[in-house]
Amino acid sequence: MNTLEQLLKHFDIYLYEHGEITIDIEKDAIFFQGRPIHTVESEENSLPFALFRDGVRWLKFIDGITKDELQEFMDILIKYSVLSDEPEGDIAIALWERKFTYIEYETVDMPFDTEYKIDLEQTQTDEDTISALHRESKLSEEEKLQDPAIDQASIEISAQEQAQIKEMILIEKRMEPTAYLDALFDSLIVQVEKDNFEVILDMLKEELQGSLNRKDLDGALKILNNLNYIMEERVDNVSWAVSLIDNFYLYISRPECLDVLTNVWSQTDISNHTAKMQKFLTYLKPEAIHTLGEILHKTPSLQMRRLLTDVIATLAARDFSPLQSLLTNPDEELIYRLIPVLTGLEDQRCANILSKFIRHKSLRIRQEAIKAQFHKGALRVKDLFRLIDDKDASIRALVFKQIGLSRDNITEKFLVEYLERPNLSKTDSSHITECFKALGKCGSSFCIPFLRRTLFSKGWLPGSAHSPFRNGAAIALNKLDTNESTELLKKARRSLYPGVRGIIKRANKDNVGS
Amino acid sequence: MDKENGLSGCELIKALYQLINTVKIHQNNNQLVKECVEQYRTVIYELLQYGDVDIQIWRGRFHIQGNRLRYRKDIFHIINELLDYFSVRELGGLRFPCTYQDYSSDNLITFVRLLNESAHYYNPADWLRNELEKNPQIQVEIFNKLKENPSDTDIRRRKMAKDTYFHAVSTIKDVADKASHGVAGVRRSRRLAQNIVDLVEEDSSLILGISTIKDYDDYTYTHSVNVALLATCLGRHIGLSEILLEQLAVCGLFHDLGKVGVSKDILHKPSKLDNTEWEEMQKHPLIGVRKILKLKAPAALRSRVILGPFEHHLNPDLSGYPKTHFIKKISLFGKILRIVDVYEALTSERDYRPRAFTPDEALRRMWSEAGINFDTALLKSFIHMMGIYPVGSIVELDSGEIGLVLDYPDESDIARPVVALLINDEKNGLAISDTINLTNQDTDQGTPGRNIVRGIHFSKLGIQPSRFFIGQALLTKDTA
Repeated sequence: MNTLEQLLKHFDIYLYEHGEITIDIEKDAIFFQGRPIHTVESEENSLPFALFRDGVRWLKFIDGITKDELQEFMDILIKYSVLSDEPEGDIAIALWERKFTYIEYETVDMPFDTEYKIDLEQTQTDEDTISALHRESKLSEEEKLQDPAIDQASIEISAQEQAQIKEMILIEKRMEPTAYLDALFDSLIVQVEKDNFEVILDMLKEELQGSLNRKDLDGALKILNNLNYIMEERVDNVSWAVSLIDNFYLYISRPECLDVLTNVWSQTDISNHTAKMQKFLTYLKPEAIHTLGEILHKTPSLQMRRLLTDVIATLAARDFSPLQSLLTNPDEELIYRLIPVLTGLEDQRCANILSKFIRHKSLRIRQEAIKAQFHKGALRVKDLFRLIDDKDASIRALVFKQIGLSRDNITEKFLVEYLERPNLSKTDSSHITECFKALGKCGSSFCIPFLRRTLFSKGWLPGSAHSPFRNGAAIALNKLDTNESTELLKKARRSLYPGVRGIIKRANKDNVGS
Repeated sequence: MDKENGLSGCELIKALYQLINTVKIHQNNNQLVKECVEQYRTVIYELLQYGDVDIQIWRGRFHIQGNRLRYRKDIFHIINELLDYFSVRELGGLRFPCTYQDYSSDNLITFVRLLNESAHYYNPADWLRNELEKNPQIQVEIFNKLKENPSDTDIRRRKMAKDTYFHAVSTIKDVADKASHGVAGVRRSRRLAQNIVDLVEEDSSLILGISTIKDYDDYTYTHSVNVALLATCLGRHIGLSEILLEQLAVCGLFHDLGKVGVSKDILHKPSKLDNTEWEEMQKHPLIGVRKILKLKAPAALRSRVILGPFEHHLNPDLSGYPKTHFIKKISLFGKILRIVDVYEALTSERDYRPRAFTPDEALRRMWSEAGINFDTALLKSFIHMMGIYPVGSIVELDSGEIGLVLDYPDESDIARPVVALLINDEKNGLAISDTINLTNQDTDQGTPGRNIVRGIHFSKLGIQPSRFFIGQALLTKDTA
């Protein structure tokens, strides 16, 4: 049983018999039935003093008091045990608000340092006041009121008006604590004093932070949308206002502001909020990329990652430098997650960075970078040469796969060039086969002469039937699937050399198999 | 009593009336008597949750559990009859203690029979008291009829009202000064607002009377307090909860915080403001917003305290000032402040006007602008609350007498108040000679008695009506 429950138990026993407990408050003691039951030597942080300070002179606990009421009462005492210099409330205020059913109290007024005074005594006159009033001249035409008397029937409140008033009260009761923001925006748009403008912006910062903490994206977006509108409205005439709003966006892009995203949002299912979240994040400055990158790094949510990737790309398109700086981070997982960002960016620096990452020590990063470069169509020929000969089989396989995804003249020319190299090892037959397969998938009529030469030259030499080049050429022709390649294959099928015919047969099988 | 709407109080009065009348006619075992006593028990037990059920009469009004009962039209005749009933028996009230929980049907019926019978005796209250002593199972206490001299409760209430008013003026000054230079807490303001709400609940006529204080040296501050008082009264009249009333009161106190920064030359200019001066004046809601942002207040309170003052010069169609781009609809607090702010200003002497409006003239002017400058439904509520000749008005009767409007006991007839007749005292000042209820018939003629002819601005008499509400004893105690 905890302390509160124990207290309640004692209360219940006493109250059942006596009906109530009344305690009197002095600044250094609490009394019950005239006797001190709690005294303190020092006022500081003491319960009697806190109660006395706020004007509470007695408290009565009545039979029936519940645990909830007692708990709330204790919470009030704790909250207001020490007051700041300019407090927003105190014990007496909280007790009044709460309106406990089983706790009564009495308070006295707070002492006031300065006292307003006004003389309400009447002015004595030398003559009979009322007679003088009757004798006074009538009101001039100018002074007479033209408004007619109020007809009581006309001011009867109709049922509809009653309903209107009830509706107004309901709306007022349900008003969000942020409802006043419209007044702030209206103040901001016409504000000509820089100091006042800053004060209002400070409040908006606070509210924005609050909205994010509450996961109220609508509230946060309202602030940013309206600020944006204000900035556009004032862009022509008040440069300091634009600058201050710009600083506002800079402020909210800082880690201390965006940390809430890490704390509150990173574990949340954001499937219902994706569009709003995206809109909110795109208001941020590119400087936010560092923080967003960290969140991207840590979040387990796939949805969040996709969202952040898009957003970081958008921000980096405005200013690449923060992303560039972030990409120097040695953390491989972070780099890995940032590579998709580079895929979507036009900036030339992206291609350079990806080229660097292609040579990264991490295989995952290399693979991602390669995919990204292919996606951008930015893989340089010299890189391609190098990658095709990469010592890692998975890299080579990836490259071939990427090459084979679409027809491409540059890659085609490269492959032909590569295959025509005299120093190409003829013993690595699977590699050569893969090259020809890739050529078939990405090639065009350009490579037909090469393939013809490769297929038909020296056909009668013994052992030449099993040449990986000749086999590869057949495979490539199959994969090309053009009229020219088909004709060439037909011709090869009718070849006088059995070696050639055998190659075509085998190539057909491979093609069916793949 | 249920502080939200006082319905239980009205139900109690109705149930008591019905019980009294059925017991007069029928025997105890009559079905109607049984139903009436059950109804009465139901209401009593509901009210006992909040403490002793006191039914008291003070200044011609019923007070239930310390709160003045607001009369609905449908029970006005019941009220009048019960007032007479109690008066004949020289009773000031009844108490049903909450410590006693067994108000059985038989005991209640017996009590009401004794109550009915007591009228036949010379000293009905004493006789009744004796009979109750002989019947100790009937746990009801009776109070003698109260004399018109103020009770301790009444004196305490008036003192609290006076102190609250004066402290409120000091507090606004203090907050305005602090908000100009740094952060200001709202602790004092909230305590005062809560006092205002309590006072309005107990005796709204007293508050309306005090809201007539005019001090042209400290106009902005007294005006703000008056607006807070009037707004709280109107809020209670339309049924706002106590929490909202507190917030409304704080709103009222700070609604013109921005004016503290406006030049006095502009505020007190006797002629029309030029364009520059008018622009300066129109800034005050915006200045107010900035100062209110410096208040250290809970979030919910801060929201309301900013919105109402910002909107209080806006019309229902959003014309007025300041210009709005984002606000699409005025809040309830904004509409309430608009009404009471204009009323308070119209009834004050201003340098730019030949004379102040009397309270009734102010209402007439405002009514002519209903729907344009004021929300019609709320304005109607305001006029109903104030009366055609508002509490605190000085009026001339067709008898030639001068009076001070004290109260409207019949809320269905807002042109016939209770009036305190004023006569010259020996020092050529004014004193109250008598109190009359203009709703009372002149029984000889069968026609209503005296009628109000016109309102008079109190400045013509050199008085502050509020002094009659605060009371002479409290005034002389507080040296000016």
